[in-house]
Amino acid sequence: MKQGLIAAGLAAAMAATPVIAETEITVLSINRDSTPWKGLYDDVVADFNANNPGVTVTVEYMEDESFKQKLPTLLQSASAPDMFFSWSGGVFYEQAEQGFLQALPDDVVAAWQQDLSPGGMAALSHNGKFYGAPEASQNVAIWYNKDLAAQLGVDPTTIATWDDLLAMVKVAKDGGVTPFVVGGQDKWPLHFFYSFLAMRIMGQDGMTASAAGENGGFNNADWVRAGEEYVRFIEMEPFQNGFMGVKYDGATGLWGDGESLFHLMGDWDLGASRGAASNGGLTNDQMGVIPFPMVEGGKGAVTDTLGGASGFVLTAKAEPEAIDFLKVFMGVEAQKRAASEGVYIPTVPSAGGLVEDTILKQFAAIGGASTYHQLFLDQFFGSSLGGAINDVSAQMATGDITPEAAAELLEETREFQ
Amino acid sequence: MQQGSLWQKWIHDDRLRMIIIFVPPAILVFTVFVMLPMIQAGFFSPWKWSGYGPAPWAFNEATDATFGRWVGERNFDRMFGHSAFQQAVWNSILVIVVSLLIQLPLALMLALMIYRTSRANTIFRLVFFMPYILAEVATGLIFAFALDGNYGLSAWFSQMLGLEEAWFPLAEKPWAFYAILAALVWKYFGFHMMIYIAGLQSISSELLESAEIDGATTWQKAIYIKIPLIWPAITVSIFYSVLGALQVFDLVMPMTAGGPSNSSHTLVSYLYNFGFIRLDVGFGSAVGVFLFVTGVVFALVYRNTVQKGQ
Repeated sequence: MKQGLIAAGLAAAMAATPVIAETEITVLSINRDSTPWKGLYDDVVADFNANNPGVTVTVEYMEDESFKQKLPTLLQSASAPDMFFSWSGGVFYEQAEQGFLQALPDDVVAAWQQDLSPGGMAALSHNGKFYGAPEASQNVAIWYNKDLAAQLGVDPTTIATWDDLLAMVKVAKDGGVTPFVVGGQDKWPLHFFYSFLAMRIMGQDGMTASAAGENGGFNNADWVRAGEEYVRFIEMEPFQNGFMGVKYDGATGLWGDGESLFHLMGDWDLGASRGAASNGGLTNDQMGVIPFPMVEGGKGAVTDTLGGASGFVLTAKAEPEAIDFLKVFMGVEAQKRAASEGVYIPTVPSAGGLVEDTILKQFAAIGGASTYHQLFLDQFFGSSLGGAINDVSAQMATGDITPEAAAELLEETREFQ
Repeated sequence: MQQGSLWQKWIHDDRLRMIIIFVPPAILVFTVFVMLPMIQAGFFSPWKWSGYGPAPWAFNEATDATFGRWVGERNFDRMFGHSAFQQAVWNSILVIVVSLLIQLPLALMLALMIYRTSRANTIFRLVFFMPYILAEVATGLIFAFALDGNYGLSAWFSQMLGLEEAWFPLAEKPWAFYAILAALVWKYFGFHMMIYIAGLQSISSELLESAEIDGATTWQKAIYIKIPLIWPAITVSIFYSVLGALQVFDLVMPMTAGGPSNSSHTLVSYLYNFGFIRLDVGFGSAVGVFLFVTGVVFALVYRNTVQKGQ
């Protein structure tokens, strides 16, 4: 009798639970604090979950640095996500080579290349295999403060060469205005200067040769010259007082407060500076954007761009449903919304024209006219060599290393990779 | 009969019972969380390894090779030759020097002043001990704010002194690490003071009274009675401060993160930065091995010289 009751109870309990096996897809993203970006994710996920019974997608967020550090352990544990954010570059190559990522089937790649950005997909590929879908297009350029430019009587749009820029730095210094703000403690904001100078001086071929260890790798005249130009700039004391003790957030807050004439940073800074500024930051009308100028005698072009090529990649354990979700998550509709709402600059070509924000539009134009897109050097060369580039950028800024010694150190690090 | 008496002995011997109850869990925890990771670090140190895969020597089917690459002693060569590492070693030595020459004397002086039980002394003790209770990261953040030339105490001081440019100690080279040293002294002197107070309170009052009757001054009592009698406590506090100096990390990260230009790293923040953040686990393990050997050598030498017979 008692057994009968238990059996009946069990049967009732089983009938109450749905029969469809639930597929859980977990996504690991870096922090998307700003409401438009996180809101976009939330909406896309909610839509997908509603339209796909039996599949539940959850997105987890992690702060950038802890994300980078936890990922290696996480990827080899049972709690690895199905897909995660990737900056592409050296770290991504390592993950792909070590077999922690899942390559997309050929038919999927062919279909996605039609809709999504082929260039962005290429950034998330390694040795002929494609591992994910690209998201935002990121570019670094020089921002200028129109109010301060007017006050100093200069027109930054006339800057064509590095020397022009340095001349304007001098005008700003003489006029009592800080030329640039920078978050030196984070090092990477400083490495943008060194990277751009190197790109303008050696061009794409030079950069490729360095990566391959040809022509002395990093220890050659071009890298030394990039360092020398950088040091020439540093010697003018272009940064705010105490720049080595400030992180990116603090520096971009100063920029938003109108503390400097220029700011070398990526398009994401639009939201970041407004978030960090004490009074809501500068309006679009108060800011202008110019590309990093050309260095005289350089082999690069002023249209060569430096920036990110990020997106989401699939882990080895990803379920087939994860591919479907990724297509929606980074898909045309989501990117169109991102463009029209000013969340980010989309990589999907058909969404590019929808960008309305006047500042983001200028960045989109710079990205659109790119003759060669270089991934952030600290990402491109992987964590060890990339970290060394950040190190020497900071050390040259504090006068602790000569351009020659910096080039030697980089080459030594490259050789040991 | 024989067995019975052994059993009886087990039941009644408190010491033995304590050993049986308390030692195995401690050994287990120590082995799993201390010994095994140390041995592991030793095995990882001759490899170039990003941390992907179970071990550098494990075979990866996806690549048809091992996860890591054998580099032998090159990790150690690179470490000893790295200017940031040399700076980190020097900084760690500086922490030891400052602990021994400033922090411990300061703690001893205060302990001698306030070790007697009275209401005022209790308040002073609480105040001096307070920094030690504070979490290290919180301390680091407080100092980072205070020393910020834009909106911290440093800005206020610079303004008061009429300086044209605000002072940013954390952004300037020798000052950044001096600031960390100051924070370290501020945070830990209370802990050492408490060790000394405990020692001082156990000195018998008859001894001090008889010295007073003999006409000893306060200074003489401190030098000839109190300090010699609390010498064991002092050696313990030196031991803690040297080993603590080798482990400084939590204060460095929020204050300077090792900067500017890797000038304010300690051995541990160096290990973390160049081993973990740069995904170079083999190199990090080599630094860990160096740190471990340094700590063990110091502990053995100290135990067998200064603390011998205690």
